Amino acid sequence: AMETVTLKSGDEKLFQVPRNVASKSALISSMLETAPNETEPIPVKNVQSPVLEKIIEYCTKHANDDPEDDEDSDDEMDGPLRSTDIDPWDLKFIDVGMEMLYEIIMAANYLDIKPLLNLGCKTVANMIKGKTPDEIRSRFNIPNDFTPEEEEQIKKENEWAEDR
Amino acid sequence: MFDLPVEVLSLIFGYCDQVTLARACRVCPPWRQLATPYLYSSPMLYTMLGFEHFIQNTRPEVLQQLVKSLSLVSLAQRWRRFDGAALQTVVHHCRGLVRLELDLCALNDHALHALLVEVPPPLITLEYSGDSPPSPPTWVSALPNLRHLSLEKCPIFHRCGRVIRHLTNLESLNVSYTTITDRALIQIIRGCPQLHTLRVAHCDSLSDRPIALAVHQLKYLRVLDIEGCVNVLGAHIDPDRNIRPPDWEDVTSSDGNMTDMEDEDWYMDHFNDAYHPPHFTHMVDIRNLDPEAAELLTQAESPEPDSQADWEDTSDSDNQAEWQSTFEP
Repeated sequence: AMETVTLKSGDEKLFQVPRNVASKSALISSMLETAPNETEPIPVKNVQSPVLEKIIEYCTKHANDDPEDDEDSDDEMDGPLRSTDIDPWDLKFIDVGMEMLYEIIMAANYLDIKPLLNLGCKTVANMIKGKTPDEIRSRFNIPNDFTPEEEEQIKKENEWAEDR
Repeated sequence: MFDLPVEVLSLIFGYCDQVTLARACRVCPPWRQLATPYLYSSPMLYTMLGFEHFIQNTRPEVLQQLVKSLSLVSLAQRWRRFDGAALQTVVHHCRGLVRLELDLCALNDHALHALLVEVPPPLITLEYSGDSPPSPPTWVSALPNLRHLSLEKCPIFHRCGRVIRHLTNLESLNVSYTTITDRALIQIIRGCPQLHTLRVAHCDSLSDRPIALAVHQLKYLRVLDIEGCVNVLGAHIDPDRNIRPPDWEDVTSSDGNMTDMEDEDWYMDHFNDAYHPPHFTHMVDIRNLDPEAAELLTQAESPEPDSQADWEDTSDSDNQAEWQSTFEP
């Protein structure tokens, strides 16, 4: 039988998943290495069950990916990484409300699931693309802590970047 | 609600384009702080007006510390308007530059000389192509730390070997589409033992000799681009000496030379493949030859009998003096 581990969400729900699926999380993977015969459920306190369910869905789909593909080739001299480079299944998977997107990113960061974190970040990058500062603030609920003078000053400073 | 940790925000900004980053800087102070390094690390400038704004309106410490790479390849009309004065401004302010790409800028030899008075210390990559320099690019010799140099399409340079060979840290060199000579390339190969990438595509003046020498002498060589080098025939890379990959035998005439080229494209494809992985293992063979055979390989069958004197500096100290005098403004 396939080896499984049990995860316990913040709201105390239990999820039994194959070991290789759980190991997509570098955090859980290292926990399993340090205590290989642990039979107790692994607590994932920071993650609630609806989010953990989504996370497991993602990890199941990508369980057999080559770990090398998880790393975005990060050559800083080649300009920005491409945010549009998203697999169709992933695109559908991440098509969720703002709150769930936020929760997924936070969980991926906490559990250290790099490809999922990158997916979340690309999605946010695509959301802010082409938006004005005001639109970004209202979309992400960010208070404007700049005085109008400050904002004007930064606008002048960065004018070159939008010059074409 | 969207109170993301700074490391996540940084990741997000890594996926953003320049315009988005510029706007992100205006969203709130924490976003500004995190987006600023991404915005300035490799700015893309499209007009001279944008360039002037960039230099004048950016805080000096930002220019000095955050600008790592400057490529002017998108700058409109740079061949008329990005001149020596503009270049001087760049190197004066952007002291952290690691990479500078000046393709087709309006720079003459004099302007490039001026650059060298204030070379940004970390600069290791320089790309330049265009109508100038009309004389040997003596200015590059003042960049001893340079590791990557591209002078593609420069109307060089029968004496460039004497200059470039002093860049002893050079790891990649691109002189494709130039009139570089055998002699110059041989000087470079001897002076720059660290080269792992050598691109000489469409250099019509080159023959087999420097190519064989590169294969033989450059122990880190990974990429050798000789596409379109019509005078590199591969005769020195002889199947009998177990250097040519086996699949080359199909295009070899009975005397072992590559003479019957009915399908030139096919031949060139295979010839080029031989210098790249996965055929690279065959290239190792060339270095396992006994020294005598290796010597033969690089020197025998030379088209010019007096070549040894020609591509060896007869008097190195003389050349050194000459090189120094050409370099001094």
